[in-house]
Amino acid sequence: MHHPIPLSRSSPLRIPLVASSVRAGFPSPADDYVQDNINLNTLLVDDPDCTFLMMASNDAIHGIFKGDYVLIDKARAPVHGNVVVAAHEDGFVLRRLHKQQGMLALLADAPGYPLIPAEGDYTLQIWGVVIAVVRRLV
Amino acid sequence: MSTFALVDGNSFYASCERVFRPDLAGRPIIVLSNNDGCVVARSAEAKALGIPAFLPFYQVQQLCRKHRVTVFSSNYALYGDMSRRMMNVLSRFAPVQEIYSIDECFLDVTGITDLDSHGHRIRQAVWQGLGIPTCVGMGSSKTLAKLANHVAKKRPEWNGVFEWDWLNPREADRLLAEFAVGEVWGIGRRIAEKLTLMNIHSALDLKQADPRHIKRKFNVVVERTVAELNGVACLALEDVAPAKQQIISSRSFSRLVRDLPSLSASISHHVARAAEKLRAQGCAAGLIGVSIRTNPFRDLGQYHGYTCVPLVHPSADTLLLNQAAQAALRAIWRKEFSYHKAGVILMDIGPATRQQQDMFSPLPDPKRSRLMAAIDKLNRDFGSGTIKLGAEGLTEDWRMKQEKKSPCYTTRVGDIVQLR
Repeated sequence: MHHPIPLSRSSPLRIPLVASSVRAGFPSPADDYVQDNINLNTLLVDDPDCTFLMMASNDAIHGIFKGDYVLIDKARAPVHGNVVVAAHEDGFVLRRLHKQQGMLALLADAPGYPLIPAEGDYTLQIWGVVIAVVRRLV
Repeated sequence: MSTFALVDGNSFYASCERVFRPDLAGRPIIVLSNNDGCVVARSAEAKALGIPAFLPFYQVQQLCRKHRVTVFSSNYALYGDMSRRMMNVLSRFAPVQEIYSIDECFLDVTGITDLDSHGHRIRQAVWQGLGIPTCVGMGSSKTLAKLANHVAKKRPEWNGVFEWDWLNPREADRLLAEFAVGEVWGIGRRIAEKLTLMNIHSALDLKQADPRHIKRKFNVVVERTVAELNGVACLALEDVAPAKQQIISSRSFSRLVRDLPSLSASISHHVARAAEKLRAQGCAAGLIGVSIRTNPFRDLGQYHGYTCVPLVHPSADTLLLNQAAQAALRAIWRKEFSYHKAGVILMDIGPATRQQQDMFSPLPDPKRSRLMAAIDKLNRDFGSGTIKLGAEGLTEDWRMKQEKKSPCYTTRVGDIVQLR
């Protein structure tokens, strides 16, 4: 292929910052001040090429519920306290990264989830950092 | 002096599968062609087991079972999306990029001072950001960059990045001598055979051949390859073997088009036109890209859908190409937009005869080639479009056997990974 084809991005969701909802009669003078749109993709995603969507299937992390969509930035370097996605056994887990005082482990915020340590010949395989949660209410 | 980089994904299809299956790290993986016919991709571990490429699956099934090889049907939605992401990431590392195939691209890295660390940054960005391992080859011509990529891939001591300038001329020549002339980019099997008869066996032999003699015996393309091996860049990123490497057919609509059937008809039309040109060159295409876009000058929702579908066997058959194109169109079409332009791009174009070396599953029906020749003749004699594809050629009878297909992790919401 000669020219790099500008490859498709997910379609932006545009929400006008200011818009008149009255359709009849004169246009609202506020319409003159419409400057831009809010794009949820740019609001929630830093690096669309390296961001993936997955779904939580438990309540291990406070604020993330079963059925929530999570956005994972795979390019981002994980730091202590980040919610991360990690490869564990034959699948992926959603946990909080603990990386302090010489201890490296994956923890759940809620009780009932065993700690996943990085010890011996087992190293943590962090797949990406969770940067946002998306949940529909209705 | 120019410097080019050729970056490609290692065992790309197998690597894409592994991104979402970390349990398969270090395990052998193979990917099957359309209809689960033959092996089209192998992870390094599968290659090490001696599983050959392009063999019918049933012939290696037992070997796979014995060594617990994980087998996948091809998941082009996944590979296409990962390819798009990889190309976007790679485009950040150079002002000019030429996407050469689904898993490789050239970058113009002229003027970048520390190419060693640049190459490693490229690998790191794709590995960290997408989980795909890559190799980077660099040289002062595209042909040398391609060869450097082979070195980066096959010699682990270079850690996946190699540039010819790191060697002194004598060492470089010694390395060139280790490549058979047929491994040089653009030297096909027939030219390689002829060169061998002229006592030109290695890439080094070709580099040292007399260009005028080569031009007389072959053509200006092979002469250019000699120059390229000598570090003289003859091929810019825009002009890879003109007319042969890709064929584009696209056009704007007279009015905006919303519905799938109209787009579908337009895509069929473009496939028919492009395929006719392809056959006129005596070539077959291995990859078909479909592009649809909205009008950037209208104040409406903007969208550019693009994806490409690799064909198992390179083909010049309008019906086969159209089936692939229609599948691609269905994957990128979004009903909420009005479209302004649609088109197809045929890529990975080579001589129609090359099919035979890759093919173990049934060859295309020779009657079909005669049918295509007849269609072309009618259209030439009686005007373009005299014979067209019927609607039955456009629709749903293309149901592939894909028993081991992985989920479309990145393109279908119902298929996303569930986190525990």
